Formats: sequence, structure tokens, C-alpha cells
Amino acid sequence: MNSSLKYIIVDDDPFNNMLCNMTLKKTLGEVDTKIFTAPEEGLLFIKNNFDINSEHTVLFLDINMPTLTGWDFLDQYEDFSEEVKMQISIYLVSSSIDKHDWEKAKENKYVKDFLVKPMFSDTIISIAEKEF
Amino acid sequence: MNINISQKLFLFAFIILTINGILGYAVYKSNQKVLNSEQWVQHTEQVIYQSANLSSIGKDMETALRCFVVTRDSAYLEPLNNAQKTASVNIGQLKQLTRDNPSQQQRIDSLNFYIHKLPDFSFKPVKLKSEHRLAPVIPYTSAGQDQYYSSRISQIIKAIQLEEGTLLKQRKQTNERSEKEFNQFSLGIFILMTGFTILLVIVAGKYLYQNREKAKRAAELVIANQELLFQNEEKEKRAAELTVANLKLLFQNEEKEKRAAELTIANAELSFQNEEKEKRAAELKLAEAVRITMLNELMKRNKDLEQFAYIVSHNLRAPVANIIGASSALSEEGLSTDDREILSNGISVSIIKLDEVVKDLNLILQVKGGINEVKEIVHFPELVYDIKNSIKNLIDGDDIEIRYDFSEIDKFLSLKAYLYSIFFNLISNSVKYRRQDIHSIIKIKSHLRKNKIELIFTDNGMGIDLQKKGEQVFGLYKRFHTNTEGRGMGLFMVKTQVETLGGKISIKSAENKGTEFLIEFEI
Repeated sequence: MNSSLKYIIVDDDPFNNMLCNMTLKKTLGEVDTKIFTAPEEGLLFIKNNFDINSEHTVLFLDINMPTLTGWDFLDQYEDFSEEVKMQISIYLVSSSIDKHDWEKAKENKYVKDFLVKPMFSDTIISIAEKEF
Repeated sequence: MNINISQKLFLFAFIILTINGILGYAVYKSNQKVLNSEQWVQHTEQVIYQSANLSSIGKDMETALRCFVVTRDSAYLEPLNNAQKTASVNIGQLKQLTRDNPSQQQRIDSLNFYIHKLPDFSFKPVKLKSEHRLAPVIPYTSAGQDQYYSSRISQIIKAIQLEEGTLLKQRKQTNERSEKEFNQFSLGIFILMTGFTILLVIVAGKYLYQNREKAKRAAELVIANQELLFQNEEKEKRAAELTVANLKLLFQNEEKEKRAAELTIANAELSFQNEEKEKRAAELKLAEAVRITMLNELMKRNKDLEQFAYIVSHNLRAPVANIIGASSALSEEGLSTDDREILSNGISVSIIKLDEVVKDLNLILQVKGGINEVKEIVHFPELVYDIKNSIKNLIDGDDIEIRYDFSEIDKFLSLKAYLYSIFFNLISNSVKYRRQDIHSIIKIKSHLRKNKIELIFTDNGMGIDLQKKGEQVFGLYKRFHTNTEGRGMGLFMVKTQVETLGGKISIKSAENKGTEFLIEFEI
């Protein structure tokens, strides 16, 4: 396990974020997790805090959000430098899986996987192992 | 003087004829004269001859007398008597001949006297002899009485002959003169006639030449005429051919016209058929357009329904997922009391959310199926008034102004609940998404167009970036602002209700400028 792996959660549902954070902590102990209910703030955080030497980070991205959808977020994310993007693994998260979204997710090279809510420990463990 | 050739010829002929006449007359006259003078010559010669006869008769008588006297033979008296008779005839003839000459008549009368006296004188001696015998006769005879008479007769005859000779001479002279004159006259006439004849010949020659020229010209003309005739015949032939050709053409034209008429009919038929086809095509096109529109509509509806189903399931799934997650977390051991409480509250909120979604679903289904409700006249000002009252708590104390202008049309036969919902959602949206830094103005205006009413809702609020969000503006549970409350139902409901009422809704918007909704209803 790599305890130095960082987590960012972008989702407009605060209760979901709380649950996710709770599961992360329960599964991995104390982890560095940044939670954003507004996707714009998440993008701003990446822009301001990531450089070449940053630590590897997992980003849980909700698709259905009012101001920016997950897809809109990905469009803007594309503009970051390759060095930054190499350090971030994006996992799309949704409460239900739409076939259309699923296809779209597979085509996007920045999306590692498509996860269904709620997030359980085994999912978090398998991701942490994968990202090590 | 301008006279033509025939007139000239006629004139010349007339002149020649006249001259001929004159000449003829002159010849006649001259001949008459010659004849006359010859008669006179003859006459004179006769007179001379007769007088010579008389002279010889006188001699005969003298001789006979002498013989008788001598012989007394009465046989000699017979010639005397005969001579006397002959002399009387001669004198009568002479008298007749010289009746126009009194001096000759006189002479003839004296001649007659002496001739008749001569026998008397002769008989005197005879008588004497018979009565007195020879003696008295001799003196008598010797006296030469008888000779006196004879010489008188000779003298008279000589005088007659002399005068007649003179007359003859004179007449011959006259004759010669007149012949000479006649000859001169004839020569003149001859020259004149020759001249005129030459002129006539010249003129006639000229005329003939001209005539020949004319004849030549005429012959040429005849040839030309023949040529023309031939050409005319050719032309007639050609004309006949042309007539035939024309007839043929006419026939062909008629055929063509017939064909054209047939074609026209056929064309009319075709154009009718084409029109029918076009009509059918137009109908088909229209039907196709209608079909496509309907298909599009259906596809859109289908897509909407799919989206709706997806959204509904997603929004149902979201609280469910939270409940599952929270339940799972609650089942873990060693949770703090706070955590348990948070999780329990979260489960409660999620259940309420779940309930809300189910209620929304119910509402939406109600709207979609609610077209059968009773329509009523809805007054726009009343609607706005009611809505203003119901959101009084939202408006009061804020710098918000709601203006409306329903002067063009202020009411509409419709479902009041739907119109209320539409007005409510649009107005409350404008209130919710107003700009806090400026005086908010919400304007509602109605327009009466040809076949429709337009309702325009305008605000000067935050607006939406339609380039980014345009597709989702009317989507269910689509929200574009996080710092305001809302479930993403409002515009979805508005659109659903507008469409259920048979209308259309569209949006114009710009960020930080404002938004305008245009709703159109068919009347």
C-alpha cells in the first residue's frame, strides 16, 4: 500500500463526499483527501498545486453536477501539462451507469475506470493497489 | 409642226393626187385646145377644100355652059345642073362651116349669088339662040359677061381661101404656142411630181425602214414574247408544282397540326398527369415532411423519454446509493456517536430526496397526462398578481421590480394550473438567478401575432452560457448554479407544460446580461 497516494473527490453531493471520505479513512487510515463540491474549485486546486514533483493522486469525479459536468471538467483538464496529467488518475463516479456515459468514459484516455456509487472498501483497495 | 409619218405620207399622196388632178385637167384642157385647133384647121381645110370644089364646079359649069352654048346640045346641061346642085350642097356646107365668121358668110352669100347667076347667064344665050338664033348670042358671049361671073366666083373663093389660110396660120401658131405652153407646164408639173414622188419615196423609205425596224423590234418582241410565254409556261409549271408542293405542305401541315393538336392534348394529359403527380408528390412531400416532423418529434420525445427515464433512474439511484453507503458504514463497528448521527441524518435526507424524486415523477406524469383537464379563460394580470403574492417573502426587501404589459392581449383560454406553473417557474427563476449587484427588473409582455400569442419573459439576471449549456437548459434535474437552491425541475416542468398546451418555448441568454424566454401558443 502506498500511503503517500493522495485523493481528490469532486462531487456536488456533500453526503456522498462524506461517505466516500469515511470509507477511504476506514480502508487506508489517514489519507490526504481534498473534497470539492464545486468542480471549478477542483480544477483551480490542480492548477495551483500540481507541478512536476507532485505526488501521485487519484481523482474521483462525479458526472452529474450542475455547474460543470464531469465531462466539462475533463475538457478543461485536458489543458493541463502532460507532466501534471501523468500524476493524476481519474476515476469517473456515478450513482447509475448510463450506457452512453460508459462508452464515452472508455474513449477518454484520462479516465482510468468508471465506478458506481456507493464506494466500498474493496474498490478503494483495488484502486490503491493498481495505482502503486 | 409635229406630224407622224402616216400623216406625212397621206399629205404627200394627197399633194401628188392633187397635182395629178391638175395635170390631168391641164392635159385634158390642152388636148381639148389642140383638138379644137385641129378641128379648126380641119375646118379651115374643109372650107378651102369646099371652096376649091366650088371653084372646080364653077369651072365645070362654065365649061358645060360653053359647050351647050356652042353645041346647043342639051346633053351638056345635065352636068351643069348636077354641078349646080353640087354647088348648092357645097355652099350650104360652107355656110355651115363658116357660120361663126360673118365676113366669110358674106363672101359665101355673094358666092352663092354668083354661082346661081352663072347658069342664068349661060341660059340667056341659049334662049337667045333658040329665039333669035346665033346672032345675039355672039355679042353676048363675046362681051365676056359670063367670064365676069366666073372670075368673081374665083375671086371670092380665092378670098375665102386666103382668109381661111390666114386663119389656119393663126390657129396653127396658137396651136404651137399652146403646145409649147403645155409642154412647159407639163415639165413643171413633172418636176414637181418627181420632187414630191422622191419626197414620198424618201418618206416612205423612212417609213418602211422604220417599219422594218419596228418589224425587227416586233420580231424581237415576238421572240421576247415567246421567251416570256415560255418562261410563263415554265412559271406556270413551277407554280403548278409549287401548288402541288403547297398542297403537300398543307397536307403535311394539317397532319402536323393534327399531330400538334394530339401532342397538345397529350401534353395537356401529361401536364395534368404531371400536375397530379406533382400534387401527389407535394402531398407526399408534405406527408413526408409531416412524417419527418412527426418522426423527429417522436424521436425527440423518445430521446426525451429516454433521458427522462435515465434522469429519473439516476436521481432515484443517487439517494439510494447514499442510503446503501450509509447503511453499510453504520454496520461497521467502532463508529463514533457523531459519525453514527451524521450517517443516520444522511440516510433520512436521502430518503426524503428519494421521496421528492418520486413525487416529481408523479407530478411530471400528471402534467404529461393532464391535457384532458378543463380549460378556462386565464387572465395574465391576475396570474402575475397571485405569483407576486406567493413569492412576496423572496421579493420583499430586495431590489426587484416586476413589470408587465398585457395591452395587446391579456387573456388566454387554457389550463390555469399550467399557465400558473409556467409563470411561477419563470418568474421565480428570474428572482432566484438575479444579479445581486444591480436593480433587478423582470419584464413580462404579451404579443398578439397572426395565429398566435407570444409571451416574453425578460430579466437582467445572471444568464446562462447557452453555448455550453444550451442543450441542458430545459433538462430534468439540470442545474447550473450551486449557490442557489433548486432541484433542476423548474424549466423542465415549464417546457413540459408549454408543450402539453401545444406551445413552444425558446431561450436567449448571455452570462451576466440576462435571459429572455419566448413562449408561443397557437390560437
